[in-house]
Amino acid sequence: MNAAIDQPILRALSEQVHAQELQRLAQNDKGARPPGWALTPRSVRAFIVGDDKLGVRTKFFGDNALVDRCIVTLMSNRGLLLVGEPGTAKSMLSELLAAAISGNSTCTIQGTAGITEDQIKYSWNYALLLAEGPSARSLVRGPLYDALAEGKLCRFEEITRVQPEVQDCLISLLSDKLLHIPELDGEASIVFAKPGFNLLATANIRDRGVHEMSSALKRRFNFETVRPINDRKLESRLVRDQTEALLGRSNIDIPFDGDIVELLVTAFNDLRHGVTAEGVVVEKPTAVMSSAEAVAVGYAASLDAHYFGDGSVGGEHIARQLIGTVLKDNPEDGKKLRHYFDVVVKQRAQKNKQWKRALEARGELER
Amino acid sequence: MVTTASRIRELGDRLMTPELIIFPVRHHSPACSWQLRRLFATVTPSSVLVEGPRSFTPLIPLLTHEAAKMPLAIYTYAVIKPKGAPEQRHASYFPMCDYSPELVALREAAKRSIPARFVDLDFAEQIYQEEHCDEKDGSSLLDEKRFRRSAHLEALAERLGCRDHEELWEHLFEIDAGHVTLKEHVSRVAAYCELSRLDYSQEDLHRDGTLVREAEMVRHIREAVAGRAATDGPVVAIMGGFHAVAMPELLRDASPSQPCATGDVVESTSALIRYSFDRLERLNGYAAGMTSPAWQQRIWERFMLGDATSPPLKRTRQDIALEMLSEVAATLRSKYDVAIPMPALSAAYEQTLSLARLRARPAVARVDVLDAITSCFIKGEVGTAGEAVLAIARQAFTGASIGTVPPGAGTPPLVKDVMWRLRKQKLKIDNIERQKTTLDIYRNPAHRMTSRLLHGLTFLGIPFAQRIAGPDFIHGQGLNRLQEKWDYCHTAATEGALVEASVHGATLPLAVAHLFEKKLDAFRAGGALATARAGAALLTQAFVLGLHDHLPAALATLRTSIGHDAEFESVTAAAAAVSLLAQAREPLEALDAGELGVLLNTAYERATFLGEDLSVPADDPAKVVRALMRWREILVSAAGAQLDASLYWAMLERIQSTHPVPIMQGAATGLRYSAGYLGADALQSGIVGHLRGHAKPQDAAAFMRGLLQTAREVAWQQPELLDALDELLAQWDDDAFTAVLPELRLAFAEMTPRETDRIARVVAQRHGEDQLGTLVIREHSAADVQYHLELSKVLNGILHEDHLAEWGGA
Repeated sequence: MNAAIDQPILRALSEQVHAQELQRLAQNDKGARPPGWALTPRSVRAFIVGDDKLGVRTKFFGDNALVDRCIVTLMSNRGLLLVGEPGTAKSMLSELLAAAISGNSTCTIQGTAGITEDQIKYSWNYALLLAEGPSARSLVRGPLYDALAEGKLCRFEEITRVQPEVQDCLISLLSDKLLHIPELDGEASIVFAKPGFNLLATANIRDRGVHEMSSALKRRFNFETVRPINDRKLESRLVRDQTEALLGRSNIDIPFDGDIVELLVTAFNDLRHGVTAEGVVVEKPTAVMSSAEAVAVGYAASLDAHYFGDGSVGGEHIARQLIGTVLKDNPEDGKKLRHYFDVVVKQRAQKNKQWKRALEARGELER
Repeated sequence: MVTTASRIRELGDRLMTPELIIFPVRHHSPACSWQLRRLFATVTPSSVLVEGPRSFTPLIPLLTHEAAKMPLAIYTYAVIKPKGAPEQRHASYFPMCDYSPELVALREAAKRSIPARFVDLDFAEQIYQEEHCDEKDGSSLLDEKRFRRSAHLEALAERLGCRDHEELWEHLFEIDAGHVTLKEHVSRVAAYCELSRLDYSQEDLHRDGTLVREAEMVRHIREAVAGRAATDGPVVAIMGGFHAVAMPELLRDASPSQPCATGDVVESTSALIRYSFDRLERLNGYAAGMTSPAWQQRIWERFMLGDATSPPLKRTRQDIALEMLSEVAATLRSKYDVAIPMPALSAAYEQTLSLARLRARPAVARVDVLDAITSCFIKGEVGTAGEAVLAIARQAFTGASIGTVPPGAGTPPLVKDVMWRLRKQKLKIDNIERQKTTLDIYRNPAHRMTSRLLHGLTFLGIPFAQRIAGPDFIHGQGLNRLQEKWDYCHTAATEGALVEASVHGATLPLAVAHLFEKKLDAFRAGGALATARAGAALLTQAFVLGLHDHLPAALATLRTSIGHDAEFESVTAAAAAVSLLAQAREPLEALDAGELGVLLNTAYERATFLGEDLSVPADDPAKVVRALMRWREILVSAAGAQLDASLYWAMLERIQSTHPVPIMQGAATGLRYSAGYLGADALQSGIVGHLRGHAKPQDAAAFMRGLLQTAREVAWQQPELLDALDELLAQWDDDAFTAVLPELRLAFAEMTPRETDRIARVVAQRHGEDQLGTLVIREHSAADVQYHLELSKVLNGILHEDHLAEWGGA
């Protein structure tokens, strides 16, 4: 699979990017592996929270206890549902867990409002179906089928965006650990789950356009809340590193550090928590103010400065992108952001040059 | 200092010799207690020495009395007078549970008639040693900041995958309690404490008085060892591991210890008091001792079922984990109606065990149980669905046990403390008649003290005093009064209530503070009821009660409730309360102007935000107008000078031009006019526009009402107003007039009689008269007039239909 890294693709899989780390962990792995697992639980943990001795990088920051709980849940007979605000690295965590536990993170259902049961379980190659009737050959396996048959983790992204009727097909599957295929006869009519199978879902509960899950399905999952990073310093470092990585990939050489990262992370923190570093309470917009969004703003601001500005990122670039991030579909948010500029940015502008430049972009809000 | 395995073993050897055993403990650790019992099962000490102020020794018979039920605490306080400085009062607790190693040692000693005593510096001396000591009240003598702050322990915790020192300790010591030999246990604890001691320089230890305290303990140990006959058992000294590891070195050094210098101790007392698990949890929360007393207590009780020499079963911890999970599930089911089916419970148990295995522990730890609760009992996000579940889990781990003081422990310190304070403030408590006192709280500091004392007693619900007059800062009433008047009487009921209340604290300030914290917690849990207005009242109450140490919590709570409150008037009321506090510097000693400033800023910003989209209640729109006017006052006050007034005026401009409710438009117009932001011309055109335009009569009247409420001077300064109104009145038919009358009346209602006369004269002149006759008729109410007007109209209509119109009056 390593060869795929050389192909020009936009984003490689976790198991490809971290192939060497996984290999080292597997080599040094001692102790019993749960049936169907590629690594022991402790190595899975080390893969995600890092291990200096084996040169394994920390990939998920801030909440090691959460990682423990996730791993243990995946060993049990319940599914794992990661919930939390958008942009808190739920999907990344899910991908890392799948990569470490099953060695494969591609067995994934991408949940949408339009997804149907047959896309999840199995469907048919209709030409073959007509020619030969239902047979193992004419059956097209869905991700869930694959996961059951091969004893892998099945990732289910954005499970709450799927219609409740479709979600509910998981209920008895999660208890019985088998899939009926009534169209086939004999042994082929039941797919038993091999050891190593489990479901790893992610969801937003409070977002718009999501469906309530039935209590029966909820009972079959353990919920784990992934929270935004609370450590300002850590967040600054992450935002800076990731933005620089994005800029590096686009071959843009523009300094992105110091004051600007500080301004960006401070503004995001203020709006996320509804209280500023000075202790002033501000209005929280409904828009998502995650670290991932901060990276997106930082990246876009750098592009703006690179292509349309003088090549150095200033407060006004950040502010313009920030406005674009906050103003999505809720007019209330515009009001809240205007208020933020009036009461917080204005005060800071008196003392800091970059904040002053940020204040200059307030005019964009009036349009 | 190099810490190697051999050195640690060697240290362990040096701690346990045939003549002296220095037993290192962590306070409230069941594992240490269990090992200590094992020690007592193998040796018969000649004497037992315990770390703790010397003066606690007389309390040992009470502590070990069979009627004493834990948790209890030794409460101690001292009033000292450092040279050239005012008197300072310090107080502290020394809490004891069944599983405290100190108590285990004392109980064993009592059982076997071994002499036992406390060997540390007395509390007053300890305080004196701590440089820059601030007055402290209600801290713990078992403070563990050294473990919490240790960088070495932090690094160790990280390496072992533990989130903090608390988990690290449990992981290393509690989990396999008894499965290591006594000697191994002692060496391990010594190693642990040695690590935390590495973070401190000799100078640090000198500065915080540690060295002097250790010298004192060394002195006692030497005495005890010297007094022991060769055939006797060893001297056993039980002390915090941090001190224990230094002892061998100190004992080897033969130089005699320096006598400890103290200031003048004015007063110093210790007493045994009732304690409770929730107070212990709070106390340890601050000082970071062992948390979760109910969990530890259960473990200890299970340990005690076995005998002292065979190690407790690891199974025990699993059983307790399951008990805890069932208890939390049961509470969730019965009290909160959360469905926790059997499979969820068993899944949680499985999760607990698997987590312990993943974390490489031989048995389950407290955090594993809590993590399993988080995983399996919360169906949703932690922040929303999880709050209640986690709160119940915390309660279950804390427990609700309250101790019982054995007979002979004397009057609770709270009763003595209150009597002492009342006498000190020269209140007559030996009289059975009701007494009166007047307190000049603005000018006399002693009276202020008395006022706080009486407010505190009232707050605790002690039947003693009643305030009959004076400024009520909490409700903002009678603020022009300078003195408080109280009426009081000391009865038997007073003392009875004080005994009851003594569970809240050993002194009045502590009890009041404890109860206030509870009230604050209840407020925070109150959800929608936690309005900014109520939050501000709580903050004010903290000042009135003299709880200046508790202000940060009250301030933070108020800030949160301001942030959540969606009602403009409530936020305004909070701001007004805060600015009042900032001004009430003398009576309330609200010196912390900086914090209040931030709070005022917060309220201001919230108000200007809410002002963007001001909602107006239909029943009393004037309330909002009054709130708007309130802000004008706040902005010109001393506290409001730091606010960015331009936001307020911009808000008013928006309200004037775009707000849908006419009374608000009128009010904004008036406010802007009287502050000079609106010229006379613009005001005139506004008035004319509203009154002569096509607005409904009611709306025109409402605009007038808003305008006159905020800028009544307009009525005589701007003749156009009366002109337009006069013209308007002439246009309206009877129906319209009757309908508008109530609103119109309200518009002029706030005028003083002199102002009403002035307006009446202008109106009369317009119609060529000198005056309008009698303006005020007192025998009829407004409702009467309104009713008669309507009745007359109906009657006139009937007469008119009957062609008898000339009979009617109009």
